[in-house]
Amino acid sequence: MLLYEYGLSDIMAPEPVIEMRKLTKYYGRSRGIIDVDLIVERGEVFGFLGPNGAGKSTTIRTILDYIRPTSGFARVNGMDPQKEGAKVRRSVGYLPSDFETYHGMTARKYLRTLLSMMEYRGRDRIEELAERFQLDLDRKIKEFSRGNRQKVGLVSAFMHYPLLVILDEPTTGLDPLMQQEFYNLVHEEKEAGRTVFLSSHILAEVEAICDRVGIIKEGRLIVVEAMRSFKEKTGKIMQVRFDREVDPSLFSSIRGVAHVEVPEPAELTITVSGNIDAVIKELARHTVLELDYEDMSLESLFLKYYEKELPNRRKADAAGGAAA
Amino acid sequence: MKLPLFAASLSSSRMSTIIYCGVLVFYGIMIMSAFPSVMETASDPFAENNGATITEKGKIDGVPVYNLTWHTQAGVLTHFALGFSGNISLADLMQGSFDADGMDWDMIEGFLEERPGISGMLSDQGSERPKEPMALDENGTSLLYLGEGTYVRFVNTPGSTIFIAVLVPEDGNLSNATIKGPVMLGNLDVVTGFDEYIKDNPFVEGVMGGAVVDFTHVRGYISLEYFSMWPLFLVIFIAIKTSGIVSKHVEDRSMDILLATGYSRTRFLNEKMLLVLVNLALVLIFAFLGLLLGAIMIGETFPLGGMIFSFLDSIPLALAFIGLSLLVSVLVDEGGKAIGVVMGLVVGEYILLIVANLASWGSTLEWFTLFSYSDPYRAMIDNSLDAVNVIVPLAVAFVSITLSYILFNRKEIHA
Repeated sequence: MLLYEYGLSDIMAPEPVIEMRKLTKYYGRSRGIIDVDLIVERGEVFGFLGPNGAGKSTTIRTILDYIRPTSGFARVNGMDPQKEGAKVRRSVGYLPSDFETYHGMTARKYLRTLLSMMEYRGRDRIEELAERFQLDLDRKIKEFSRGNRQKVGLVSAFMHYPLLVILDEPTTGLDPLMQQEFYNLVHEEKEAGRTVFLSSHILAEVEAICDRVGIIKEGRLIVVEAMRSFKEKTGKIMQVRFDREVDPSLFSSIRGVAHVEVPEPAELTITVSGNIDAVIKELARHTVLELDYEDMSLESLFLKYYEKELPNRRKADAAGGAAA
Repeated sequence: MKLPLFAASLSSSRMSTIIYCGVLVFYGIMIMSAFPSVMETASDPFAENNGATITEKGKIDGVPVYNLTWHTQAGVLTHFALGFSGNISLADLMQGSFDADGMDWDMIEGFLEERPGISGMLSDQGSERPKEPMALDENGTSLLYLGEGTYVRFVNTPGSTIFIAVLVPEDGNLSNATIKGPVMLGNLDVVTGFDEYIKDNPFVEGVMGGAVVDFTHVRGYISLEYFSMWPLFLVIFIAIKTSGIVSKHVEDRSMDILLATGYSRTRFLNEKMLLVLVNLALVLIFAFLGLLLGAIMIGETFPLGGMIFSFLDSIPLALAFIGLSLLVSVLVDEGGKAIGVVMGLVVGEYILLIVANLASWGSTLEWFTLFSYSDPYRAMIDNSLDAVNVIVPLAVAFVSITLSYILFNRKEIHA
């Protein structure tokens, strides 16, 4: 039911790479994730977006059998993690959040050890990826900065050509150049038909590389959307200062402008979804002293979706309560 | 079969293992090299009376040798030691009621020996110490020492039984002299100085696991000096090695990436446990080698069979603590906390053993401390292992290791 609500019916495929049905995890009485339904298809890049503590890592750890669900089930690459946890993990490339490892080894020795543990005997990508991320393989990991350690983790996740890569906050500690290199890598993986599932709390990152996005808040998956429609809904925020007072209705009447505020007499805050061309043209008719243009904050975004989703959930809860 | 996790873990922990094994070799050599002097000291019976102490120092050319020591005091002109032999009792000597004619004064001979660190072994005339005993009277009583030292070695001959030290006052009047002693050879106790020490310090016996033995022989010496504390040292080392198997990797999150390789949890534990067992084997081998090398260096016969059994005796105990430490490691998610809990367990068990050995009411406590299921001395003497000492720790090991595997397979590994 929820899948249809979230617009997933059109992308249902016979062999999803990741499948979660009513996946729920409680830590004692504390909430982990609640009724998460999600399907990720082969060859797509899926972004799992949410603030810290929302349940992103819990979801990933549950489908990789680090933790066990309270109810519901999951399948990864056609396998049940609870029954075949080791096989599931072997079939994916995984980068955990706050990646840590043996500090006493060189990066090369460490990565070779991992390959050996995977019993992977094919051609590997260690050298290629290390060069790409400018990683010195012959230095000990303990000598690395946080960002370089993260690069080791990224190499370990991709080095054996896994068909599914699961990345938990993959760009933590990477500088902008390396972040861009990572985005390029993900695009290439997609081109090669591989699947990438990544969690992030950075909206721009998800927008840059994902085909679809799911937003999780307080343990509930509140929306799953294709990136194109997501972008149309999220919008940008323009903060404009004019040389004189300007009528806000000039902007609020423009198609694609979601909201206009007047924080100061000669200032406007305009929330724009989709095409901004008409807004720019209207701005050009005035004298603009200052213009800030930024993404909608994640919190604003959550609020937007949360407010939309909350009445539905209340209805569902009420129906459940009545049935009980 | 490849064991990459084992190999990687061995590689990353090799320095600590090498250092510990090196320390064990060095410690074994040190212990054995001290044996000759300890043997000499430990085998010294002694008798003490009124400020003079006589100590048996073995034999020179088959003749018993004794040390007589006393302390001089302020206002003393000179002091010297005398040896008497004859039909005389201490009481007679003290009361002067003995028949000097019946004494054999000639049986005493002695020589002085300069003790390292004590100077002034000169006579009060400023001459060198007497090379020959000085005859004091026609009865042949010899002045063995005259000077400022407080130590003299007697070469006893049959019949020489009483020794005294005489402190002559400044006025030179011998009748006002202070007598230190007398001490009689007959008072020499057959017990060793160490036995006396243990008698006065029962706590030490408790700490040593109640296994106080005759350590004037090499087996007893090794048991006491090495194996009395060996179970504790071994268990501490092995418990530290084991307590981080799971907890450390969970705490620093390296468990995530290790399991992400497709290792099953059982295989993870298998290879980690193999590492601990290899560490245990290395520690046992190098400890053995240390003692063996030490024995070779001092030219002492090495009790090979007994030693092997002594080390074998500690294996079930070590396995039991490996099991318990593994269990703690699975249950506690922080490496430091796991080590703390395990060390608390080890120390608690050892304290229980001490209490069990010391307290009259504490004998039943022995059942609850794993340390009581290890007796390296008995294993060495008997060249065998006590069945209970094998079965009980192995049972504990089996249960705790099995439980650890079950719990780890069910464990939730949190971020």
